[in-house]
Amino acid sequence: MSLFLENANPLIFEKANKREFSADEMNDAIYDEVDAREVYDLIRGIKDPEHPLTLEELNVVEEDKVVVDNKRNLITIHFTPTIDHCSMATLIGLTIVVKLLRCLPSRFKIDVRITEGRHATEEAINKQLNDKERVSAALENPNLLQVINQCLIGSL
Amino acid sequence: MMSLELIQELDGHSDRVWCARWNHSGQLFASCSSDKTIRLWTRRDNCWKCDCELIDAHQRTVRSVAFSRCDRFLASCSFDATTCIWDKREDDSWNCALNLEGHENECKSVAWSSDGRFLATCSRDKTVWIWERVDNDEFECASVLTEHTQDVKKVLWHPLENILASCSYDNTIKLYHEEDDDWTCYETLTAHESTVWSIAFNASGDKLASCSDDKTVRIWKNSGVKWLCVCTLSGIHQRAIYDISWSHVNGLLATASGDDSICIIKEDETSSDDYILVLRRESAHSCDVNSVDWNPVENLLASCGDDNSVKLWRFKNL
Repeated sequence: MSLFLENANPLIFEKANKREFSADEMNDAIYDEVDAREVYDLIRGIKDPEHPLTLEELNVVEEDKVVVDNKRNLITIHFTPTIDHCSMATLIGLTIVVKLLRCLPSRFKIDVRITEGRHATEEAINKQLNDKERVSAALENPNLLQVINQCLIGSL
Repeated sequence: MMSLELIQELDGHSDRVWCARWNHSGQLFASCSSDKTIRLWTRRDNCWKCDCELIDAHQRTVRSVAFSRCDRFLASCSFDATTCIWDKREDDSWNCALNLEGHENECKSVAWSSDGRFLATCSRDKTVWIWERVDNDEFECASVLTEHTQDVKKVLWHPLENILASCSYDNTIKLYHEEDDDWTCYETLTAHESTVWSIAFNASGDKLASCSDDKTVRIWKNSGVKWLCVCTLSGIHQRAIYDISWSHVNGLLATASGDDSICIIKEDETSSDDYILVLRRESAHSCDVNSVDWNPVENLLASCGDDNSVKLWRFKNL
């Protein structure tokens, strides 16, 4: 990692309040579908690889950019790098993928992509994040896995 | 009426299964997994069982396996960048006789030429290697082909001739042959809009099918001068198509997809250059289907997926 921060003074955004549960949600007899807020809660506490801030505080992830389709078992997340040439974008995307792979039931297909028009090499990064063979090979790399796990500590 | 009937689900692997491949007699098949092992399955009393587990040869995910035409050798390649050659002992156990090294990183696919003389491997390092068997237990690197500009996903030999095909993350398929004692790429097939995951030749080798991350299947035909794309099938799968197999028994194509389904495609009776979807098996696996392979002598299909399982299907055309 470089000694200099690419984006030394990022804008800091407000954190979401704790989720308020409805009576139905607290009732174990009622089956709850996975919703966007639940998925957002899993990823908003992930730490940025270079700042002591969460992806939520940097506005890299937003609740309305999480789409859950329970019927088709699809989850799509768009994330927004803080700057459009951020070299950490692939790593951030990978960290979101790993978090969701670990926490969600395996029936879900997870697509993590960059918010349209928000990165210089958006297409290349999306292609890489979408290639499960390369993601799986990357996760067998102990050094990379260690960096990812560092970002995930305390994320929930 | 066509049907694909599940005849057995085989458990044993403890992580996603990447590839399942039949030997040429159709009596045995091998599966390999991210659990770093290879399992060999044989039929006894009409039931398939794992007789043999090959462990400790690879340090990381075993990505693909291939039997030599004589069925005496099995090649396996791994994310640990190596390829192992296993030979079958007289007591039917398998011994890792050789370990081929050379690729810089993950090895994605391995294939034997039909005459057993050559072995091809490919890797994320963008290269395709051709190894020549110079002795029973010795291989020499005959060529390192650097035509692809990205990760090479699969290598496959022509069923009759020493022609090699490869497909890649760079969206292309390439064909190679030997020319003046050296291997050269003589044709590049471009049409796919994303990663080409797999390719398959028909029995006579005059057609090639490819499948891609762009969710299409394409059929290419050798016109004698060039390979032309004669058919594009889209809309059959909702997500990436990871593998395609062309049966040399019934002429049907099978596809494996990230949408958990398996599709069967048939040549249109009225026009041999048109292909149609004839059967779609939804939820064939509970997660992505990674590979499909037709048995070389009967109407049996082996599939495997991210749900750690291998499944055997009987195809029936009633």
